[in-house]
Amino acid sequence: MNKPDTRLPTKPMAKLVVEDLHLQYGDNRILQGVSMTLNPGEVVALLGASGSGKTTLLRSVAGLEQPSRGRIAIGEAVLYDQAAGVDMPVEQRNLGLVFQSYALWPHRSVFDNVAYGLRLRGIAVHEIAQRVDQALSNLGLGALAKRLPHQLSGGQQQRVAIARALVYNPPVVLMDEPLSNLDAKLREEARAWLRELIVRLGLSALVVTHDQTEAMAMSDQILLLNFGKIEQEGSPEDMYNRPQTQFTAEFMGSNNHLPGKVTQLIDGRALLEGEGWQLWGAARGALKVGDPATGIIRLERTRIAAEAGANRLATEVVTGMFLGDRKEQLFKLGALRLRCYGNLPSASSPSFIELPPDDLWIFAGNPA
Amino acid sequence: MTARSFSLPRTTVVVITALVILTPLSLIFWQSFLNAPFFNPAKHLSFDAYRFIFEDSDFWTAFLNSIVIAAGMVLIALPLGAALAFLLTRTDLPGQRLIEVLVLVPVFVSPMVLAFGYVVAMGPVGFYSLWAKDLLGEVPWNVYSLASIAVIAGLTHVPHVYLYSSAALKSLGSDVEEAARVVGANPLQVALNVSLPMTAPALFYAAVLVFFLGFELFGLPLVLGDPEGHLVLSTYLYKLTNKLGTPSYHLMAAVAVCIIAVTFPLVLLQRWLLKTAGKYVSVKGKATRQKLLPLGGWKWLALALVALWLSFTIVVPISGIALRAFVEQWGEGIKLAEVLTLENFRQVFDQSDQVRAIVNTFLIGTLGGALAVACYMAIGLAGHRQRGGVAKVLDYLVLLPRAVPGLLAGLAFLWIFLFVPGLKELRNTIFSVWLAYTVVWLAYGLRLISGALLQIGPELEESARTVGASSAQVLRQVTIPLIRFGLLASWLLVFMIFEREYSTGVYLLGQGTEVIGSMLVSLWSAGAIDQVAALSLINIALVAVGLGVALRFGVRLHE
Repeated sequence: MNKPDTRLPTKPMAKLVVEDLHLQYGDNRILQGVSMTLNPGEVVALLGASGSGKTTLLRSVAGLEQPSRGRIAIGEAVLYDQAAGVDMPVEQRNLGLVFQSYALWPHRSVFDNVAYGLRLRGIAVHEIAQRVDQALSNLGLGALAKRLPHQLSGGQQQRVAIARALVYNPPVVLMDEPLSNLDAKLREEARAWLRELIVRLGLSALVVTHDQTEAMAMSDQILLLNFGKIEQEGSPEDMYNRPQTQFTAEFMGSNNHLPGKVTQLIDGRALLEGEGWQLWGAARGALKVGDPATGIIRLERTRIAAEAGANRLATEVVTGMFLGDRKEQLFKLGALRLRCYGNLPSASSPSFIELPPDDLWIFAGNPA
Repeated sequence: MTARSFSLPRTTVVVITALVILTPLSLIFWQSFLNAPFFNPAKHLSFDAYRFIFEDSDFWTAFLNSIVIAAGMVLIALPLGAALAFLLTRTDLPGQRLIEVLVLVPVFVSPMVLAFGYVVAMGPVGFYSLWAKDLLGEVPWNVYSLASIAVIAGLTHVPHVYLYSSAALKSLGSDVEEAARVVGANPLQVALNVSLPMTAPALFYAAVLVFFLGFELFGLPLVLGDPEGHLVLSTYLYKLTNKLGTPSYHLMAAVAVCIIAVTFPLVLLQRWLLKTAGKYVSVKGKATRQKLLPLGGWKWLALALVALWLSFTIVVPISGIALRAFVEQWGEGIKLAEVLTLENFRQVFDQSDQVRAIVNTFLIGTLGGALAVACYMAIGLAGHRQRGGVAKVLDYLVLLPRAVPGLLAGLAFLWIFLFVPGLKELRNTIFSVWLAYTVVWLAYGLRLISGALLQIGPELEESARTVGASSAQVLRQVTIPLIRFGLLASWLLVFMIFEREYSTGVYLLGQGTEVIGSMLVSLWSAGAIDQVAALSLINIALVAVGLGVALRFGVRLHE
């Protein structure tokens, strides 16, 4: 029986480093050279659509998937190194993993679910009781220790899963879509609660999510994955406000799309022309005059204006939608459909929409 | 309106099912409380039959033997079946696909044939015994002892445990096991602390099933228990006829009631276990691609153990029969090359009753199997998406035949065909055997049908109703077409089961109702070893054809 080192520091100061990780199933290349760093006390979100490889990356760190190339290390401890032939068994990696399904053992009580990791580490019975109680009360589960998992609500099960992953003080906590099994209403509260918990306990966490809002809310750094490669990484503000690629721009928020053609390029500004309209925007990436391009602007940066002006389009109102905290309006201009938030200026037959040039990003190429 | 127009056929199905199940059962029950056969005018109600068997020490010995054998089987089959399931679902054991098919062979080979195989292969002058004697100077085993019967029965019932525990392991979300690995458990600790307790309900179910099957055992103890006179309840019942010289139907019925008194609670227990098993594992994970546990060097040891088990349960008995079918005689000092012959098969094909047995067995599997599946489908559809009364009645009704061993069911149907007007004329036709087979395997067949029906999402039928189809039209145009493949698969499985069945036909055996299974029992009693060997091989060939077709069509061989 292998007992992982129980003398690990309670405030771990080691950083997780993944270098050039590759993984494939047959011809299906899931990860194609991913590198990342998770500093102590930091939360990194792995964001991406389904099939992007984000969960596979997380599971590779945990040792549940078999990479074909690369290196994974936490501080001095090498978890995986293809070149050196190192592949530490899952149970020796001493990581905490919160499963998307929670994966609580249905035949064990809440207490026993949480205590199992400590028992495996050969910790004395009274200390186990004390540490499990501590973990459960940290997560607001003090009264539920004797329950079985199926007697708990979804939110409570999630907390037990987190307590189970934290109780033995792993240097890094891995979370696979921790909020996706909760109801939409509960999810927002849980998000705030989870962020608070991470900050309060000073955890280093790697969190997988497909929801960009969740990623921005919970993490210090975001890694956006696209077909097994990192599309862009940075702080939530960077990712949202300064996307380097069209993919990032589209993924991070709600947008209007304007397919057209570049007709002028001046000082980092590009003039985008479509059928019956032209707009100045911020040129992103390599653009050439005459090339097809797409303009992308966040919904909240698109403004309703009372009259004609620079970078404004004269459009027709299609319909309006009441969303509770605001209204969303739908406009059309030929084949173009534009959405934006706000109220319609009264009795204006053609409505004017302003797309400020700094907020309208122009990327090369037209989406199919 | 539409519901009413359909309820007539449904009621008919339920009534016929009830009649076919309850008549023979009540006849057995009634007969057991008479002092003489029920057709004897001098009969009257009494406890004589029970008094007789309870005072018979043979009855108690047989009862005890049944329990010892059944318990022994559980002790042997449970750990081996669970270990086999773990090896095949969780580790990188080589040759998994082949093993998965081979494991099921003992389920589909007639126990009568298997038992006979052990006699000719490992009996005192069996092929392997004599080879062992040449090597070691003596035969190191005795297949006729009570312990041997339990061991052989235990080893041939490993597949039953394997099926249920592998199904449980497959449905066990890999995440709960991965979660244990992540918190620091090694593979062995995962198996013991997570996989085993979480599949415990399935294992317990399998244990009850094996005990139940052990209590019903007939072919193995009949063949292997005879030389040393070991009786179990079913063979005790079978030999009662000879005991008194006259048809002692009341005694047989009393024994039958005693057997059912044990088996029926076991059937109810199984049903209850199956229901609670699902409840227990209520938190289900999502099934992800599982990393198989690398066995390393141990895989060869594991493979060797599996191969050893397979050769004992499949290779030894079947090779014994195959050899015996092609030799004139066998014993000490005989050289194999000098006695090879086709004479045994010539003899079989010279006897009109044995030729009829082969033809009948084939017909009862193919045509009879199709008819049986049609009946099962009618019953299955009668209870399909029905709540309340009808479904509940059907539910419990079909459990009853499950508790009645084939031998007893055959006996009850014999009585019915002997004395019920309108059926008497059919006594000497294969219809009598077919009806008994169909009722005996009713629960099994219905599980196959309901398995197929469960695959259909209710919304497919509901959407047909909303676009304007009546419930009868939904059945004809949506439900039945959708379970076509399930019906084909059920037919193949029922074919194999009907080919292998032997005990149900024993009492129905007569001119015109011969089937290979009951013929084997009768020929074995008469000591016609040559023909038993040849017929057994033909029986194995029929089952093998069914198995081959089933595998070709990708039929799941178990629920």
